[in-house]
Amino acid sequence: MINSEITIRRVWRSQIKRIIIYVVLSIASVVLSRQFPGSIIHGKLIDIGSLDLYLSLPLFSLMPLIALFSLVVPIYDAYLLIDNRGIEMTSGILSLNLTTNRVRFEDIRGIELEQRLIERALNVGTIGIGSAATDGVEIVMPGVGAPRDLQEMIQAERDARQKAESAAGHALNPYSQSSVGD
Amino acid sequence: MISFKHILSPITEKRNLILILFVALFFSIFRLSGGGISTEKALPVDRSEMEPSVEDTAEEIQPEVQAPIGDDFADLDSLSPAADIARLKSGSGTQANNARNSGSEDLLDGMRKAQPVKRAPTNGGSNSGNSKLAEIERSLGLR
Repeated sequence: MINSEITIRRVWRSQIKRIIIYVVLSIASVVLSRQFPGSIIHGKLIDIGSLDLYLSLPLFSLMPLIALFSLVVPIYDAYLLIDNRGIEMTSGILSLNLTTNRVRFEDIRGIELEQRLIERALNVGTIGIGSAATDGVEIVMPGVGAPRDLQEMIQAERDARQKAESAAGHALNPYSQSSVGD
Repeated sequence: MISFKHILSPITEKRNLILILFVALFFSIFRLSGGGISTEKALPVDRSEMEPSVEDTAEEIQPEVQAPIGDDFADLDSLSPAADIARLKSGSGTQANNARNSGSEDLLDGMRKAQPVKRAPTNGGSNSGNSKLAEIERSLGLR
């Protein structure tokens, strides 16, 4: 049984392609800014009393900045919360629309795991949780670290809950099985 | 109760620590690219690895050559009047040539040697000029 809350986020190694792009663009930014000094914009930023502050903005540095945003946003934008009631996925933390999906352990129909070749090497993957209420997958969490362990943990919790539920139902109606059999 | 551990825990967490490293990497790249905030109009940029400048270096700048007309004026100021006349007569320099061409040499020489004109005392309103005039008038029958 899960007695405390477990928060699962995407891991950095799931963004390995974007990390490589970020590093390459960073090097390109320095080289191109030195090759083309005219791409550096100088201008007055703000004046505080008698003190004037000037900004020098290399335009090529916007390339790694955009790559950094595209790298950070997926890491901090969503998380998976597992507690003793069920699984809750919150996405859109850095966006305008915040979405929350909650599935009880008793309602979990299946848990899918998807891993590509490079994800298997890095031990990351995409977890999909389908509930009895919907046909498809209700919760999809990509870039989870150690997805096999997470899948087994959720399956064990679901089995334990379903056994407890069936036991409770059997205790309330002990003749339900025999009556059906008759 | 909030302890020191609570304050440090977001920083020491692995996920946030990697983010701090990436942001620090970006700011170092930003500075290496020549960006930043300064109180001066333009930041000092390391231009040693950039394209060569078309401006002259300090060694290549030659001192300004004075115009020759300035020397002529200096000579005129320093020489005495006699030496000035001699210099004009010798005809050296642009000023001397100009003075000779305009005839000011003779004018200056004449002004220096000129004596004040003494008028002859008049005799009852007639002098030598008047006697000649009287003769002319007499020959014409006007008198």
